[in-house]
Amino acid sequence: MKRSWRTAAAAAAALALVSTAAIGSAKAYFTTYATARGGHEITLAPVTEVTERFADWTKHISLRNTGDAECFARVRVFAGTAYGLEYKGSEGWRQGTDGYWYYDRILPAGGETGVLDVEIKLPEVTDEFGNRLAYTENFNVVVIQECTAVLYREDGTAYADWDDVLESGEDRYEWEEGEVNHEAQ
Amino acid sequence: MKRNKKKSGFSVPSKTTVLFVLAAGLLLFSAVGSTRAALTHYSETYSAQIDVQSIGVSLLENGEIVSYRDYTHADDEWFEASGELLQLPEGEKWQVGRTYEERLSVMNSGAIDEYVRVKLYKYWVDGEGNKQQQLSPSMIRLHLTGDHWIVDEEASTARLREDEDRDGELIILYYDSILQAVGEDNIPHETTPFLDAVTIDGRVATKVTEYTSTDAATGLTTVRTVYDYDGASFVLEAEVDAVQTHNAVNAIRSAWGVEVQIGADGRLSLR
Repeated sequence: MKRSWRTAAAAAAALALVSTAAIGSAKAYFTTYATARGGHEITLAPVTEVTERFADWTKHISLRNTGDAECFARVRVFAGTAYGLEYKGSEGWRQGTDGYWYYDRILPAGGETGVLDVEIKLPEVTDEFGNRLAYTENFNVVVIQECTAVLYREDGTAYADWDDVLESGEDRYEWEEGEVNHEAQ
Repeated sequence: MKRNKKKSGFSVPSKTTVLFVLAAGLLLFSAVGSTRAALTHYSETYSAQIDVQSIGVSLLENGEIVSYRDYTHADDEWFEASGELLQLPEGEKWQVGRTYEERLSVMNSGAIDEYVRVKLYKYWVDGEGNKQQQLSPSMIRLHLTGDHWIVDEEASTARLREDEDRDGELIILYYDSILQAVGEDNIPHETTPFLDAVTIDGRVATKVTEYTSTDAATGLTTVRTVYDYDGASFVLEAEVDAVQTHNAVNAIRSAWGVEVQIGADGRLSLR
């Protein structure tokens, strides 16, 4: 009797093994997948360099975008109160209400603005007889040029956020032996 | 003696019977195997009409297939391709703050009905492709439609609302309905879009680090402002998963590791 139960148990185990052998495949489910990716580099840091010519007491200012990112640019010139500054905007420049002159076009990488002329009005100096004398005082004229990244509204309209200003620079002028000496930093 | 004889008489036929049953069982299952093999062998003939094992899924970008992975049972072969998202016309650069249309949806390119989900990854990399963990994925703004797509808020790590602290890269979405296989009209079925626009937040231009230096010779001070996101690339990755609808709860648990409920109408919801 004992032997028959062992036989029966062995047979049952064998059957169980055989019958469960297919379970693995039965548990496999149909699945698949698909993937894709993409993206772009963001360039935000514009770099501009100022180019100046000085002739006839006029500074001819233009800016070149030497960075990789497009930008907006603006310029302001400072001088002592005794010196007058007269801006003569050219194409693309417009006067702001804050003392800056704005280049109102997007300056692409490698691009250059039109020329902004700034005439320096020297104070008149006369001798005791009222004769006009040559002006020989040293004085500084400081040029600030700034650029900022081009931002876009959701509809694609470009704008500048001038609260984020990148660089500033100065130009200094001194008299030396009667000649104007131009130093640019 | 009589008793012993009876016992012996019972045990011998029983052993034989057991062995017979075992042999029959083995024969039966080996026959099933053959039958299955035979069905597999002839299934190519069926495949044109009832291809019950060919599953496939495609990702669509603005209505065009951008990637797919389809199994063709007749050929026992996977056909797949993976394309590139967010392509721009030659010479154009991505503009910060601008919203770009990016309609992403899923198409059933197989022969069986399926449930689908999407994993969206968004992150920043440097020029060598290394992830930039210090740059915020939330600056990559994805406009999710919510149209028949359920966001798994627990499994997602990305910021889903402005007031959230988390700022991970993953969003997981489940399509709440069965995505049916191609019908008699031979037109593949497609989900509603789960995404329809992408914007790089204009605030990336406000994330800056300032460096101040003074020239000893001239005494001039220069303030240099560096944009944190300048030169970084944003990446959007979409991974679509599909699974059979038969025995869907178990299939989804097994394949995706999530518990779902399937309504009588086939509507899927997360538990």
